[in-house]
Amino acid sequence: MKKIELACIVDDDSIYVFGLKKLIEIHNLCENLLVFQNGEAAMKYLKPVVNDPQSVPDVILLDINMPVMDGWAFLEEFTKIKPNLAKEVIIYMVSSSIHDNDIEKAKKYSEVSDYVVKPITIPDLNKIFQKA
Amino acid sequence: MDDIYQVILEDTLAGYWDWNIPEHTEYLSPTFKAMFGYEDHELENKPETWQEIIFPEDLEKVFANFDEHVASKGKVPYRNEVRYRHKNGSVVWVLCTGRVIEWNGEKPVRMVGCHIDITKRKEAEEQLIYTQNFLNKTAQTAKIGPWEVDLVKNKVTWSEVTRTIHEVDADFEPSVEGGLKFYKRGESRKKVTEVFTNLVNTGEPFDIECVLVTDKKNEIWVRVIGQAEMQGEQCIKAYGTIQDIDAQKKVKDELLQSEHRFRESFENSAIGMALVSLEGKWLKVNKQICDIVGYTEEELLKKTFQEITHPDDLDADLDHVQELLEGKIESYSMEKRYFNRVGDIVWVMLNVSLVRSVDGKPVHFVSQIEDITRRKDAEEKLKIANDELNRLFEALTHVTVIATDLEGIITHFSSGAEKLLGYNASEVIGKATPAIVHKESEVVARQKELSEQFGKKVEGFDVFVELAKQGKYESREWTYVRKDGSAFPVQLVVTSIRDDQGNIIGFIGIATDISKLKQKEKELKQTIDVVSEQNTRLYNFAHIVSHNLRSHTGNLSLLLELYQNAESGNEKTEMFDHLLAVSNNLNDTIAHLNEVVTIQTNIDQQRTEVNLFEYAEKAIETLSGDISHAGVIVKNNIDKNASVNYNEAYMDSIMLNLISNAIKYRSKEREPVVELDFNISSKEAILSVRDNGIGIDLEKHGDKLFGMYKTFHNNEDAKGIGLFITKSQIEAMGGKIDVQSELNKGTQFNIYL
Repeated sequence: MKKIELACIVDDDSIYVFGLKKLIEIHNLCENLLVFQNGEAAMKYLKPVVNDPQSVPDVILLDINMPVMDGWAFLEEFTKIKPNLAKEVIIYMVSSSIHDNDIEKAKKYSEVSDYVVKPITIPDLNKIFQKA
Repeated sequence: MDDIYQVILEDTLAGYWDWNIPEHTEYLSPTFKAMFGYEDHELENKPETWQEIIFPEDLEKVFANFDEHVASKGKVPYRNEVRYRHKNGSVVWVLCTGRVIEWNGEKPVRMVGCHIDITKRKEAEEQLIYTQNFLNKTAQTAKIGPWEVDLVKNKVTWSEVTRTIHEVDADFEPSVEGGLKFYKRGESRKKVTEVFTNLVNTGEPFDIECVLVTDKKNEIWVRVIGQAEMQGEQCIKAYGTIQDIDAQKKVKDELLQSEHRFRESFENSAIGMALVSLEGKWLKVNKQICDIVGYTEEELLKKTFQEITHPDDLDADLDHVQELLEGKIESYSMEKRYFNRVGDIVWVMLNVSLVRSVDGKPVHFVSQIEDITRRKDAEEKLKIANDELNRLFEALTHVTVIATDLEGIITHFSSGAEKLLGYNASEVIGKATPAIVHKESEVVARQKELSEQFGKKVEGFDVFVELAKQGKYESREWTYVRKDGSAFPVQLVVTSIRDDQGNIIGFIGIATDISKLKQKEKELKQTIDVVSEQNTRLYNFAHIVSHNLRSHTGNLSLLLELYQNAESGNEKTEMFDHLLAVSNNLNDTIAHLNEVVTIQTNIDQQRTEVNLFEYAEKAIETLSGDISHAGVIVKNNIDKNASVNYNEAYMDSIMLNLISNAIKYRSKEREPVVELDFNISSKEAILSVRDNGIGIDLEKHGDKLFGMYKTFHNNEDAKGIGLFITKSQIEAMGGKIDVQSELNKGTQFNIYL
């Protein structure tokens, strides 16, 4: 199994982020991990590095409800930069929402591989990081 | 000699005369003169005397005869029957004879003659001629023709009438056998032959009616009478008459037939028929009349019509009878009531006429009686139903009933219509169409709709009745406009009125005032809106609860897993600190949710009069620390007397939330200002809180602004609960909130109280 080089978490819930980071570390799922508090912060990072395959994450775990720029807004922005990306990026929506509207909406984005309901588990993470 | 003659002549009461022609003297005997009522001395003895009293036309005859007598030298006798005028004016017939007894060569010298009064004979003759003529005329008129058979000479004689009856020519030679052959072969000929033979053999007369076939092949009925003239045992002559009785016979037959028909129709008539005496007694009744009144014929004939007539109808009936008897009317008809045998009322249509004898005396009444009880019952029921319907129409004051003819002209305008529409029935009946009570724009719209639906132009009055014309039932909402121009909604049902044959003769429109219904409908819709909004809120709330609790429980399970796997005591302590944080967050979330639930479930919050200015001041006071710390200028522009009926706690919360938000999101680039205003109009009361802060990107966040745990700024104090609760409180009070904002310029929240 090829190990993921660079993963990215976009979430404003610090406790969740702490826990997730721990899990990834424990299971040694990736080499490097980026964490952003909201979509805007993530975009700020991504835009300048689209051409650099080393800097573009292989996988993004994206929350929906965040201040400033939520998951949906991030997806809109991401769609714009996608053609210029140095490599393919797999996006997972990870949210506490079990609202049908959110699940359906996520499916409409071709960029989104799947929708995972919190709390995220080890089997979920294994699946995500294997696919990448 | 002369004297002897004279005596004889005088005694025989014959008058004589002696005329000396050359001397122009004439002796007239006293008898001559007495014959005309004169004394001897009253008349002179000269020819002029008699010439003056003879009828002038007879005098000419006399002179002519005298000239002939003279010319023939006495061979042509002088003899005349002539008329004289008697002294008393009567006519005297005289046989006058005479002769020239002395001649002077060719010339007569003396002539004598006598007068015999033949008046009696003449009168008898005239009487005879008259009688004969009369008999002939009568026979001809009565078509009676004599016949005679001389059995000795075997000669048959027919009179002219007899020939006419047989339709034979005048030169027809009748015979016994030939005569009998005129009778119709079969019964008639057999009968005639029989009675004639019997007459000849025994002398017994006959008088029969039988059928004759004339020479022209017409069949006629004749009456033949025969008598015998006997000589000892021998019949020598048969004679009699034949009479054309065809017309009489036919009349008689017809009479018989019509009598029969009358009897038949009387007995078998579909309606009751009766002959009633002038006193009212039933003389003859048919079966139907018995059936109608339930009596047997025998029972009924013992009664009078008065006995079984309803007392309320008797006087009118008797008045009519009186008028009939007095000849004022020919007949009468009336609807009246009888009591039948068991005492029930029977309604009948009675027709009565009076039969009079030839001399005009009333004989009896002919009554025709038809049972109309069922019709009367139906009429009565119809009347009741009509009355009820009318009462109903009139009683329904919130319903308008408008009937029209085919052209739409109003024919009925109920009192409900008068009351609801403000028109008097007399103003519109026969004068207007229902269009006057309709809203024109609706009629135009409907006209377009119907025209499209049926692919033809539907206009004018048809807009209201097109469907009814097609036999459809139409019920739809319209707006009625009163005479004063005000309007109200109605549910109008339009149907056609049809006659017995199913032809449409008019239309009827029944409209119900549905103002109240509409009001209820509006209220109901509002209730439904509120409920569905509530529902949506609850649905959203369920998701909020689910989402927020899940995020915490998710974290809890994640942390617990990590805690269990922690290898060092330091790690465990770190996890425990995080667990403590999750626990606190969970408590906060539950507290928030509880608050929201409390707001949303208490729709009928207690309200009191809330002075807006004072509540704004109170909130400013509470936030004074933050305000002075941030250096914010707060302007309370609310009118000091402005007050609304509101929940106190909510007003506190709303004011605090909005003002603290305005302080929290102030711009660092300028002096922060917060302004509070209150504007009230007839439509709405708006409380607004305006700042000149950083603003919100409504494009991005507008739809989430009032959501729970939605924050849009990187502000550490942002919890995403304040506006959610504010909105919940405002809505719980029946109001709403909206926002206007521009990035880096400011934000204004408007609360519709």
